[in-house]
Amino acid sequence: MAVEPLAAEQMRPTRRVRRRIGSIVLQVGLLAGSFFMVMPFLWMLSTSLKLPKEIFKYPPIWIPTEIAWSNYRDTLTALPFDRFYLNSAIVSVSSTLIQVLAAALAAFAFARLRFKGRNPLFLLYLATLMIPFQVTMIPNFILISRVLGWYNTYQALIFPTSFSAFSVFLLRQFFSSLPMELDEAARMDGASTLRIWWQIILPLSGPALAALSIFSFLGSWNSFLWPLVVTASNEMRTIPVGLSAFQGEYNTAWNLLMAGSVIALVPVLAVYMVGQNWFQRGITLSGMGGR
Amino acid sequence: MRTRVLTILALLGVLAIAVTGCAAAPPAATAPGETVVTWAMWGSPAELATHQSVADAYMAENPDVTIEILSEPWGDYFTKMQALWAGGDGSVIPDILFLWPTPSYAAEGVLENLQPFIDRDGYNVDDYWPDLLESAKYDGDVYGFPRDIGLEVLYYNKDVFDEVGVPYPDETWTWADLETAANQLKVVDDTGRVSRYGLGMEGGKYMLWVLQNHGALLDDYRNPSACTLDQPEAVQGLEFFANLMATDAAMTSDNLNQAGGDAAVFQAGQVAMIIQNASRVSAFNAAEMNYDVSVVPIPDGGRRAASAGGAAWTMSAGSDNKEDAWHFLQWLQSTNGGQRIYTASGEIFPALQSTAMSDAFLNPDNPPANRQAFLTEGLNATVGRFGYFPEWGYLSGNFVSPHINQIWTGDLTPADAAAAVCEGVNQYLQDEDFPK
Repeated sequence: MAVEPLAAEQMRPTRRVRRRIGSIVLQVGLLAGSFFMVMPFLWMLSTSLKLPKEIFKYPPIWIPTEIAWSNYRDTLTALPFDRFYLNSAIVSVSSTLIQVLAAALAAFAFARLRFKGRNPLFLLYLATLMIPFQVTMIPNFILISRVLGWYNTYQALIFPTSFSAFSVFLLRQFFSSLPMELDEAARMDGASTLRIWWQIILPLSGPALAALSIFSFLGSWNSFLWPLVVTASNEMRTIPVGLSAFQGEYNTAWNLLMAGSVIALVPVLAVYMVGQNWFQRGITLSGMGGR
Repeated sequence: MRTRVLTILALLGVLAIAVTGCAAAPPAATAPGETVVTWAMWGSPAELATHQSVADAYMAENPDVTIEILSEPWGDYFTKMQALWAGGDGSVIPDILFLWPTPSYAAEGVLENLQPFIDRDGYNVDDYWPDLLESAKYDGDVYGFPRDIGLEVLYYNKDVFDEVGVPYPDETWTWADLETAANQLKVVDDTGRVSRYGLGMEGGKYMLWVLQNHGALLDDYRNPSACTLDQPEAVQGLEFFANLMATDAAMTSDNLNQAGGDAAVFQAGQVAMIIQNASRVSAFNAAEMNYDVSVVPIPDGGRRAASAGGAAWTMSAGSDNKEDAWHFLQWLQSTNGGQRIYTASGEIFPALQSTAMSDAFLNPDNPPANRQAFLTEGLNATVGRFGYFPEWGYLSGNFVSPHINQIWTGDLTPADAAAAVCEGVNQYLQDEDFPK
């Protein structure tokens, strides 16, 4: 009995040292990791300020000999970026709002309500995840263009991307983990079904809703093929579609493409800086980190 | 509480309607009775400006017609066009569109046969460079008009030639001259790394050498019965190119891609010469390079073999306005119309001989000075780079390119690669019952 505390006493400094070494190793590892993560961004920034002849120089030049601010001017005058921004913002925000709302309602039904055929219906819905977008693109396009007459409109950009089986699945799994007793108690107190959804389930699902919002916003902001197919003019195009104009058949204007990418990235980066804590909590709690 | 939930749902409904409402105005409102021709192409913002000036010039001559441009990025242009055709909505299907390769699309039935229009109105097809219209024919009929001809010339950096003291290339140059010059122009530093190569040329252009040496890939490019790449003259063409790469006289294909392509390395001074079509001229002029062009060197006893091919203006079979589309198309492909404007912009070498011989092309204000090189190559343009049958894309992608690429990486000798190509191609031709 008397020996053990002593031994523990002697152990303590070594453990502290060991812990410190561990922490240094961790920090070095993280630094190396972040270096590799940041490098493409630095290259993008560097290229956006280069003259064409320096872009592919070997060995690579990180700081251009002549800083070509004119790339930014040329990029902004070549394409209506303000319009692209506005379109991307309108489309991403609307489609995220609709998606979270619709998915939360559907997930609530699948997770908390009992009705005939619930599970087969859910499985059937999940099965749609297996169909690649390329297969449904043309039928979707026919529906949008010929049936609804929505070609080259915001509706065409927003609605087809606003409903996804994945988001319903994600929220259903989260909702199912909440105790059923909550609903029962609320119902005893006279709450309606919608009220249970709104006042019991949603407030408890903050992190899951946050995570879903982020992923659906990012997905919509970066989406390329569908916006390309349903838009016909720069008035309706989003940033990714607009940017691809710099990649030509024979030549790619890398400096302009990178300047455009920097311009496109700034607002997203700003949103991330502001909501950093929210995003991290959402991603850790929902288990959707990069694992 | 229930009302609050309903309020929120109602608000979202309003939002949805608001979004719908503010987007309801179509992009280009047209006056009643006005004719609209939709015109689709790919291109950079700079090229789009040229297309727009072409449309403006046509509309100035034809005030009752509106040309509506649909410009798409190169990478996904074809996906988009296929979606529009599949959609089957005549009001959004482009009436006139830029396309390559024409025969495959014609075989799919999405293109309008232009032959009846040509015969009816007597459109002059003899003004095209020899063999060029072959690339836009299907079943003997013309389905498209190539806008330009992708023939290659030799671009050379005069500063580098002056620095090393190598005489400028001219039409007397043979393969041996090219090889000697490339070796003189290359620079190898102390560590053995090549900091400047003599020549930069895309591996995919190998057929130029094969054809110059009287070789060929197929015995018939419209209806083949056998692969001929394993014949000695064809293999010699492959060997010439492979040897340039193996001795660092030319940059290897992989290396060239990683370094950003031939335009990038030529501008960066990493190669002294490139062999490429006219599409590079505007970029090199913008960069104010000191360069000129010459005809591509040929082997002793060889022939000039410029590529007779280029993306073509075609008409959709689903067009809802074919007469107006045809009128525009004819104007587009005439020296007094679109061809002149494109050529004067410096972006293309025109498909029509009369345009190339006009001051729009021979204008001496901008480099390259030796514009005659393009005319010489044009008059010798020939088929041979690709097959003019719908299965060509599959054949080339599965049985030709994979083996040829292994030559440039050094994994196969030209003779072995050619044998492998012919084995695959002949088997395929037999299985598909060629010749048809």
